[in-house]
Amino acid sequence: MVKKVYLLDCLKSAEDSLAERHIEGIFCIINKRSIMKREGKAQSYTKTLDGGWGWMVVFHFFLVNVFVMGMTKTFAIFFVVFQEEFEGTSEQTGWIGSIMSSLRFCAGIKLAISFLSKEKDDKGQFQEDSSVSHSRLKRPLVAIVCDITGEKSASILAAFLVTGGYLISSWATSIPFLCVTMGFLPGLGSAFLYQAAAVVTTKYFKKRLALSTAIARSGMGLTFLLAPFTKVLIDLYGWTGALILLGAITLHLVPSSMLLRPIHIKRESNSTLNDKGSSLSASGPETACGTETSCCNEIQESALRDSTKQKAGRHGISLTVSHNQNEDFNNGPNRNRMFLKTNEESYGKKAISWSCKQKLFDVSLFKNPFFYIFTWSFLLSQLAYFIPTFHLVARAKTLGIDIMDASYLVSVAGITETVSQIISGWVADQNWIKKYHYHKSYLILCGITNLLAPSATTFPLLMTYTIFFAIFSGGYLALILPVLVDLSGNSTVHRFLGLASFFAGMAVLSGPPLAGWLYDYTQTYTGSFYFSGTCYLLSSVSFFFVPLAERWKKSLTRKREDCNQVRA
Amino acid sequence: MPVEKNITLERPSNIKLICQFTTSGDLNSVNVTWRKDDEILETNYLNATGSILYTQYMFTIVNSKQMGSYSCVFGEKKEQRGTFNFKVPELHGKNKPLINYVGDSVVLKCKCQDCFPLNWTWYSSNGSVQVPVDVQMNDKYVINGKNANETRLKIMQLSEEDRGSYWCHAIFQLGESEEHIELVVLSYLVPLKAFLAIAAEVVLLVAIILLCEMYTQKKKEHSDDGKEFEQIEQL
Repeated sequence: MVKKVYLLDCLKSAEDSLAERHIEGIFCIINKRSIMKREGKAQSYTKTLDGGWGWMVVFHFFLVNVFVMGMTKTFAIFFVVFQEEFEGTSEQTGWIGSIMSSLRFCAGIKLAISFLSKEKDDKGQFQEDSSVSHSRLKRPLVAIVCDITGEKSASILAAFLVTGGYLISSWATSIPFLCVTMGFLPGLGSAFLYQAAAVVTTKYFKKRLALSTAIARSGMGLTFLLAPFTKVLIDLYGWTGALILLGAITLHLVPSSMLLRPIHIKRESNSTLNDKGSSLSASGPETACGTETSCCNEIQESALRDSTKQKAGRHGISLTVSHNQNEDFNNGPNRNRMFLKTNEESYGKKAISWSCKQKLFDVSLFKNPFFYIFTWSFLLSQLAYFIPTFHLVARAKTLGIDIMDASYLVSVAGITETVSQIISGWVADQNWIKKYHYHKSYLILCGITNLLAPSATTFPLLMTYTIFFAIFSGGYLALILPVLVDLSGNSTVHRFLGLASFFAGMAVLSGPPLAGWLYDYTQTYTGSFYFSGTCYLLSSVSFFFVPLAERWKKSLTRKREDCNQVRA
Repeated sequence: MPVEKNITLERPSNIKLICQFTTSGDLNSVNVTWRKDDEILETNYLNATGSILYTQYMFTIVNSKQMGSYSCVFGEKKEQRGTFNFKVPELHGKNKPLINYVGDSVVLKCKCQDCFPLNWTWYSSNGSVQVPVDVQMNDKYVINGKNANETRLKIMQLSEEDRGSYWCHAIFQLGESEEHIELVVLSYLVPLKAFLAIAAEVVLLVAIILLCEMYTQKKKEHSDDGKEFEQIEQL
């Protein structure tokens, strides 16, 4: 049924005048072509690589972590400089930093919206709206950008956005100006960068996802080098020159974004077999198209000839069958076969995309219990993570510990966290038990450590607390993405991550002010440690509901299958 | 072991200095003198009770000549000293040089903690000679201060000649205090060259990656052509 509609679209143009038919057909083709071109360029594999070119993607993700996290940390240095230069209050200047950090999470919502408006198939490619000529005005602008570009180009654009933000900031004249150029633009760019890199990593890695994410996240550990480097830049060139040079350095994300080669995972599942089956039945209308819209045929086939070459290997079975059926209407064995080939592929996708094209805003995510479980835990754990990080040095100061020793604490924490992330990633990949169990236990241990933290009153005790906290927090940080992939079931990773990050971004925005308020209210930092400990314990609670959610989902899919069988 | 005390004084005041000397020997044989920078002063007051020798010196500080070090000296051969150092308040400037670019304007700040100078003056120096800043040039220099305890010198339209050391002097009734600020003026070409160098390196990397991609694409197309021929033959 579905294929007919698509064909009718092309056929409709046949009813109009010849010129109009050509134009409509071309429109059909151009948009098809952009998708096909991307697919054509994509490497196709039958299963996830778990290595090979994937390590280059990990390298890019590593760089993204270094620069994105580094931006947040170096901002603390610029904070002092901007406060002096523009004579703003701490609160005003602090807004720049919080806008940058929270946008990094919230802007994921834009990508989530763009993907909500169209379904993503198992192969991980975006679907083109088949009747784009009719509905292109309806779709949001962002969706169009992501449609046309794809992850690699979105990443490159985002890198330019970040660099541009830094460069424009060097001409800043006031703090609101900086809020936009140094808060909004880099924040937005880093969100796109992070999202694109995370999703491509999930496409390339399945068995070794936790390890690869952990290695990429270890880039955060290198950011402690970025801070003294920025100080040196400011001493040599002033803050204007330092911003220009930092912009140049983040420009390196452009060549590393080019490493994000699109990949096409062909899953041998029931869906693809259905596609092949349905394509056989669709060969009937195809023949009709073969006679009536010969020029539609011609235009299509000539435009898609290059991309079909990539697909030559995959459709052996269907190829032979449809060839037989169309022998009567063959303009020549080559032509029709190519047309059928490409149509067979596109039919498979069109089926899924058409059925979902009806919904402009897919709310299925909100019906997914896993989404709630993950977002609850993500939100609380992110909120709880920032507070000890901010207040550790301050607490050390109030206990009378020298600032040099306190900064030693911070660097030890950074290194321990990095190492623990990699180890936790490797352990999780061995798949001894399900990943979310590890995640749950790390969160609980983090909570307990934080609740015990106020009893650390001397430097050795504080150091012990720092090391344990770094081990456990590194453990759970490495597992965020793999647990997300496990819970979301591969097809909705983009949306999941986008929406979950949006909610987490709200938490991050409120985290530092909340911590500051806690300190003002209690006049001691023990309150913040108790608060973060409770938050961690609460965040682990939602994972106890996973077995329940899985059972619920199984019963739901069983009901659906029964319905389908009845229909058939 | 010398005993010293630093006293910060801003305005003319009446001063009372007290020294207490404890010794095991004979107190009457100890010679007590008050000195200002090795100049002997008239001792006002001397008292001996038990083993503690108590001496006191009262005076008034009115002008800057009276600032300095005052000491109470006990004994002649083996001298025991207690010193009081009188100074005007010190200024806080910036330890690091200020870096600015040609054409920008910069504000040099000098601040005095808990003190209120009568007047502030600015000098610029190239080398050892301090030249007062010409405030008459209104489109170049502007001196103002929000409070009495700070002063700002705004220099507009910076050029390379403006670089160097600047001194802010705080004038008190009892003396002067000064602070040094270093100003560095760079031209825009300096970071720009570094930026262009890094941008060129990035462009090079992009070109290399593009070339690699085109090369692998061509290789794939050749191998795929082979595959297609195979398919055609099969059919």
